[in-house]
Amino acid sequence: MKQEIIDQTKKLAKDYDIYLQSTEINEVHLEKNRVNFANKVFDSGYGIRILKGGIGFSASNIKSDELIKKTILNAIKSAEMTEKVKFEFPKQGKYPEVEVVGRRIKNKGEQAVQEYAEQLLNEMSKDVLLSFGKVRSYDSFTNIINSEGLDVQKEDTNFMVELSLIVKKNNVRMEFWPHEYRRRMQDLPMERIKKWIQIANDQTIAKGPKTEQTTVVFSPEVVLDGLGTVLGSHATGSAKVNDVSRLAVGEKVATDELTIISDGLYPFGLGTSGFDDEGVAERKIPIIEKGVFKGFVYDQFYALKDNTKSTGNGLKQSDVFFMFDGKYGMEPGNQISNFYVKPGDASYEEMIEDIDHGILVEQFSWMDPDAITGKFSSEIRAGYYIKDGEIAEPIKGGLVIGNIFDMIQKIESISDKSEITSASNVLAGVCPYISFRDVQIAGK
Amino acid sequence: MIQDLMQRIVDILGDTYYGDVRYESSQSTGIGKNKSEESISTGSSNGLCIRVISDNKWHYLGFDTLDKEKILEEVKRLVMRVGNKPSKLWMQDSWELDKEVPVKEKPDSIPVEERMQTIRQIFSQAMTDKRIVNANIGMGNARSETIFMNTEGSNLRQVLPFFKFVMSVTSKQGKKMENDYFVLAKQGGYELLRGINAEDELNKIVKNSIAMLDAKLIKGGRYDIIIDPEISGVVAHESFGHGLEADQVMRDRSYLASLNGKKIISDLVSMHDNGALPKERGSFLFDDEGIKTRDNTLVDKGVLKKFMHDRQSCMLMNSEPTGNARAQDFSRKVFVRMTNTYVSPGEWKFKELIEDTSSGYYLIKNLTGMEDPLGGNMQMVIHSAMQIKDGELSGLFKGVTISGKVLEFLNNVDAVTDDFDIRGGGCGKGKEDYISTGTGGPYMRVRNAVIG
Repeated sequence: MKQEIIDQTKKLAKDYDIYLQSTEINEVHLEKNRVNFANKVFDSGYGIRILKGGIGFSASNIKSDELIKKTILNAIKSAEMTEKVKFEFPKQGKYPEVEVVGRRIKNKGEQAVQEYAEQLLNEMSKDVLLSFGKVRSYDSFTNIINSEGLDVQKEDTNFMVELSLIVKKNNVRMEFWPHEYRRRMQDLPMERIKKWIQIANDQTIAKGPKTEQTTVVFSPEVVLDGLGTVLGSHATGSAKVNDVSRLAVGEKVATDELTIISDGLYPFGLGTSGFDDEGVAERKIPIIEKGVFKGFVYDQFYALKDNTKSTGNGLKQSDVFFMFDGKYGMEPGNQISNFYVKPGDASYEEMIEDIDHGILVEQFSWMDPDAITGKFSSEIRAGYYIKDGEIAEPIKGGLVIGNIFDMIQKIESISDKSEITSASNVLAGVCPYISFRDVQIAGK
Repeated sequence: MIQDLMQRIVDILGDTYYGDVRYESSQSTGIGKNKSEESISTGSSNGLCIRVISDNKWHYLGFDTLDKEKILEEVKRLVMRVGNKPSKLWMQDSWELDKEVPVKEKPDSIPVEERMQTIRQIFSQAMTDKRIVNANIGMGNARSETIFMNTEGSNLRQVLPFFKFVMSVTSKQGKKMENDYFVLAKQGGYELLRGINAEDELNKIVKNSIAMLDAKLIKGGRYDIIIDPEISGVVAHESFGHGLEADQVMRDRSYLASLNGKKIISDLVSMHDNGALPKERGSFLFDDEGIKTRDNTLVDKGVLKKFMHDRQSCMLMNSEPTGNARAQDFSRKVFVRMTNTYVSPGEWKFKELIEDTSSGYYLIKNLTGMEDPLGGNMQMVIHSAMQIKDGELSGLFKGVTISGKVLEFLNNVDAVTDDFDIRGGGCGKGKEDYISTGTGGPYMRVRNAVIG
């Protein structure tokens, strides 16, 4: 298929890039502590961008000669119909070595997924119902070729676990509902599952919080959804060029504790890659350094539009539903890679010890701030009071209300470990726990 | 022909307790423009999903490449491996259907240049006010074909036309930014765009986006509120409907599990899930298990009447299938999913409702909503609100959310209008498995609701 697409594209177009991806997916579902579904999928396809005045895009997973030609001609026609742009496809670069392959998935995906599901079932005690669970692996091969002579290939793996853990105690049933992605299975070990079960257990005695302004600690996942959604959007070249960014280079936007990097190289990070989805080398780009905004991340289009160079941030990732297979069907967009928040000085335990009174939020129903304004108002699904420097009674319900731009100016402390995490709105993060002072809680 | 391959697969599946094969293909076009770029993209895809059940466990195979020999070999291997142990599964007589939902004006019959020109004109109009810093204008259409065959002998084909038109604008004043949007998403063709006054709709969102720059933050608390049809629909779907998906009930994960037949909410509220409703985004002729779609009354005058089912859940819950078995695509599992979910209209007029309300807020447009099928809690983020004082609307507010328990919320409904609308959108089961849906309803007044 590959050679056919390249030959046809070369024949019909002068300036192009071709994105080829094939993925094997293995999946097992569990329901009420038993396996009830197994699936194996083979998915492959191609997306073609043509530069001919404007840029046109067309994609397909149909490999007949006729459809390949039609797909290319559609992209050419689309390029001719859109307004003329200043653009050129990237040239071959020097690419860093990165770690993105989980060997168990690569070598024995089907078996590895089944074994992980069995381990999960073994973790369930009589008090815990695994209401449902999904375990899925992706094993992908990607090849990008363009008319500038660029020809890059990569293998990567991804792994997904979604669980509904229900604990029943004293006629109260409570659920913890994690949904996580990693590159490798060992990065979601059974210790993590035990922690989730513990949170579900604690929720059976949880009460609603009271209305107050207090210190609030966000878990790494919540940090990624909160800060990543808003700052990740405002830090793109597209936001700058389209005049919808609040950030200006050199401006102090956060407390000194906050340093954020778009880190495309973090070992086994979900946004890690030797090159972005246009073939530009990935790297580490400082976004915020000691509270000062340092610069924007660019894909090829917005870099040229802003008279600069791509920073390797042309990525094919949906912010609605994360994609690992089928990326060929999307055009690259200007996005941050791994949203890396530099760890602070205090350990998590010391951070908690320093709080006389506050709230730890492990999970919101949905932390979904407005990417443009930074405002949010989210219901606590699983949290704890912090009292006299210790984790105290569990809480559930009530709203945390705030604005991310205000909160990053009220950071009290950042924990000394950043961990790979995924969230609801942003796929790829490496984040610590962060405490913010004077956050509004709307409760009883 | 694909049907020949599918028939050969069904022949092999004949050795199983039950098996089916579903072929999907689609062609789509998207056209868009913002301040920096114009885009035209096209796409085509196909895929084949093969399902077998044995001993109550489903086994799937998914293929995007129609390599006949490979597929038949994999199917034979699957059948040998899983066996033919009986399962609790709804069986029915075979039926046949071959229908393409008609379109008055096929979008692809209008030259791309002409459609792009329409987008450009609307974009230019959006940017005439200097306080608007960016606008995204887009339209898309897709033709989606499904062919279904199974070991019962059914042979079905449907072709559905989807059309979407979206406008969003961003206003800016210093560091303050706000936005507003308009969405038209239904089944049909270009006639849907011709059927609205896009200029009027654009003017409304431009005006509102600018007004939002001076909107005040709402003070949280309990208030009487009036919600618009869009919000009524999201309450029906997100906060309420997910708890009526029978697979959630079977997983012991629904707060509504034990309430069938009981009066649970205001008798002014009736709810339907209706996949057979013409021209809506969540409509189709048969579901992904070959069951004909229908109008399901979920709640009748406050009484819970029915859960939504697939072939398996209905047997386990002593019911019948409801045409709600849906998959994101050939590569994903079929789950119990909603179609077009809505609250039925009542008798009030919107104007009367406002005039009859002495104090409270009128909530406008839903931004996000998340299900909580076990807890029955609501979390919805609303675009904006207006204050109601002595039967009149005034002032604009932002930072609006709805929270609390959905049954309490719907029990406090004391007025429902005859104005009614359904909006096309999408739904995930949790955070994935995206499908197209419709949600809607009337304006409803809810007493003593928790908003923040």
